[in-house]
Formats: sequence, structure tokens, C-alpha cells
Amino acid sequence: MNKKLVSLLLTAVLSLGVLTGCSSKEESKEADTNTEKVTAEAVDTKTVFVTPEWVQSVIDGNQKESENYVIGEVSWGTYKDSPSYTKGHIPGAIHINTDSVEEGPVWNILSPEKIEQSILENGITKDTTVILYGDPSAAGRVAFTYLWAGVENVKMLNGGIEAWEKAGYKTEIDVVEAKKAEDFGTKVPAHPEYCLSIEDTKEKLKDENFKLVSIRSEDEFLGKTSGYAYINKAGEPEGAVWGFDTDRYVNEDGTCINMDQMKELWNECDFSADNELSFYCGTGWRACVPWLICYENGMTNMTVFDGGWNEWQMDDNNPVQVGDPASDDCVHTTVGELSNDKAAK
Amino acid sequence: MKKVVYWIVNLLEIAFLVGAYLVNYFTPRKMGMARFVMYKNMMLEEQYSNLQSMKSMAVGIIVLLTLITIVLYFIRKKNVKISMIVVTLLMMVLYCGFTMLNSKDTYTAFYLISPLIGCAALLQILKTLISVLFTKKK
Repeated sequence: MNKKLVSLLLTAVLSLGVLTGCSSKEESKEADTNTEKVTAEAVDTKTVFVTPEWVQSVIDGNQKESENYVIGEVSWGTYKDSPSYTKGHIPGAIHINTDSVEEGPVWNILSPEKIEQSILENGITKDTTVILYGDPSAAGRVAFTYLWAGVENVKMLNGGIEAWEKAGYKTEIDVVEAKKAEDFGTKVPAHPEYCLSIEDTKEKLKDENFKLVSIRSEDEFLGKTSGYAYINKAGEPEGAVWGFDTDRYVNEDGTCINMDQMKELWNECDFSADNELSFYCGTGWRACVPWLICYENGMTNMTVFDGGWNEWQMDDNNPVQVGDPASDDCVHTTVGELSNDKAAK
Repeated sequence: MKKVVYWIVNLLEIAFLVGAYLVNYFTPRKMGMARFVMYKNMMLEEQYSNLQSMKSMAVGIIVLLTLITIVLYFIRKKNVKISMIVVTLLMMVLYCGFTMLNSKDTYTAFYLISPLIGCAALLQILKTLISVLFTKKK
């Protein structure tokens, strides 16, 4: 009798276990099947701004990029300092600190050796597809640096995490550790021509076709404020033209404008896409946004002047304009003559 | 020393120490603060080439003032509470230890934190010294 009862109980327990196992397997499969349905049109390697659908289709294994990719949420500081990473990030996304590509107090791109090391630590080689998201300027800064270093396929999720959530895709809160890569696969930087040093900028400014484009606010461009709490001097390098701040390159929903919209915007400016362009801002973040739009549209006549106003105002002898260069009121002077009371309040 | 002055000095000391703590807390956590501190570090190093000797001189002054206070304390036959002397010694050790064992490489905001702790230590020493000089033994 006892034997019968025990065997009956065992059978019941086993059956329950099998049934429960089956049902949970079925549930997870169902979820997988749902995500496997996400497909999106393939995009060109040079395309930078991609949709949430495309990113999900990469995760689901429906793109050629699915074989080797890294997703990174970009912000300054560690993941703990990020306003959003621990609240919910794209599944599998690592956190990338902007300090992993630049160094103070000038905030220019790190040395090639340090860049290579930091990229490898994030598990990235030149053949890895890197999908970044975050504030467009911050993510843009990292995207630009990775392209400069030699990563061949760099994407930015257009609209960031807001667009991702709006599209209804899931997020996760677990901290993802990057798996270190060993060999980058090419010499860093593979594209030094993307970046302009302060010396090169001064030389280029002698060329009439060259336009040094300020991606800063109007008040910064006119010398009313430096735009930064730690920079006391305000003005622009002599010869700079205004290309609007990033609020004109980024829509309200966080997506970036396209090439046609950018060309239309530039109709109001003193330069065009036919000029040789070098974008700059205060320390190199904002300038990367128009550069990336140009890059994905096949332009090659543009660079980023990495040092920007921060580096320019560190040498008292550098020539400066304060005010609208098109007006008679514009003051042409040198950094050393500027007042020290223009730090952003 | 008048009680009200005594407490004002105490509050100022606490304010300096809290300030040092906050600067140290926010520098690695807020980008604006980190950049501000690094920029000021660069400006300071450009402006003053003798920061190392200034650091040693400040530590020397604090140690000297502390020694004078302690010597006077014994000369004047322990006319103030021993706790004042102990706190003075602790503040001296905190300032000298932090300043001599660290630099901007260990604490990015070293050039801000060290003077803040230094001010707190100086106030404590002066408070004790004045008490030693002007308190009559009961």
C-alpha cells in the first residue's frame, strides 16, 4: 500500500515537473518567436542613424551585423552616474563612459594607444558593428572617435532609448559587463584625416574655401558667454562662421535631422556643403553631430576641430573675433585681450 | 574666548570640512564639477610653478602652530580642556596626512580639498591657541 502511494506521489510530482517545464519552455519560445519576427531593411555600412526596428532585428539575428555587434549606452561617468542605464537599457547594452575617449583639461581625443585599449576593453574590434545611443552629442562624440580609430561600422540609434521604448521593445536593468577583445585589427587611428588639430586649423584658415563652423549657441558665437562654467573667456576663433547649435540638428523627439534638412538649415549660413568644412564647439561633442550626418551621406570634405573653443582660448596669442563677423561691431582681438568674466553662470 | 565666537568658529570648521567632503563627493560624480576642477588644476599649475613648496610650507606652518599651542598649554599649566588639545592634534594630523600623502593624481580635487581641510585645521589651532593664551587657570 505504502509503495503504491509513494510511486503514485512520485509520478504526480514528475508529471507536474514535466508539465511545468513544458509550459515555461513554451512561454519563452513564444516570446522568442515574437522577437524573431522583427525584421528591418538592411542598411549600408556608412549609415549612422538607424531605427529601433533595425537594432531589434540585429538582436534577433536577422541582419548580417547580428554576428558581431556591441550595443553601448553612452554617458559621462560610470554606469552608476548614468541617469538612465540602471533604470532600463537595451538588452545586452554595455555602458560607455565618454571619458573613455577623451581626457581633460583640454578634452581632446585620447592618445591612439589609450583609445585602442579602451575600445578593446569594450569588446570592440574594427570589424565589430557598434550601436550607440544616449544624448546625441555624447553618443556622437564616441561614434566619431570610434570611426576615427578605425571601427568600420558604427551606428547610432536615432532617438535614443525614448525611441526604443516608444517602439515597444523591452529593456533590462542588469549591468552588462563587456567581454574584452584582444586585437583591434588595424592601426589606430585608421582615419586621422577626420580630425583637425589646432595647428592644422590655423593653417587651413588661410584658405578661402575652408570654413571653420561653430556648432555653438548664438550667445557663445557672439561672445556673450563662454558656455562653460570653467571657461572664463568668450569669443570665437578669428574667421569662424556660425552653423547653429545642436538644437537645430536634433529634433524634439531626439532624432537627428537628415542631409536635406541640414542643407536647408545651412541656407541661412555663410557656408555650404561645397566648402571644406571643419566643425567645432566647446570641447568636441556637439561638433560631431553634423559631422556624422555628413559622413553617412558620403561627404568627405569635413573634419572636426577637436580642441574647439576650449583649446583655442588657452593661448593668449590666438586671434579672436567677438560679435557677428558680418557686422561692423565685431571686435577682432587676441585671446590675451579678452575679459575673464564670461564663464557660464 | 566668548562663547558665541567659540561656536561660530566651530560652525565654520564644520562648514569647511563638509565643503571638502562635498567637493570630493561630487567631483567624480558630476561632469560639470569634474571639468571645472580639472580646468582649475591646470590654471593653478600654470600660474604657480612652486605648488609643491607651497604645500610643504603650509604643512610646516600648521605643524609649527600646533607645537606652539601644545607647548604653551603645558607652560600655562593645562589651563584649557584636554579635549581641545586632542581635537587640535587630530586636525593637524588630518591636514598634514592628507596633504603630504596625496596629490591631484589621487584626488582630482586635491587643490580644493587640501586648503579646505587646512582652513578648518587653522581655525581649530587658532581657537585653541587663543584659549590657552587668555584663559586663566581656575
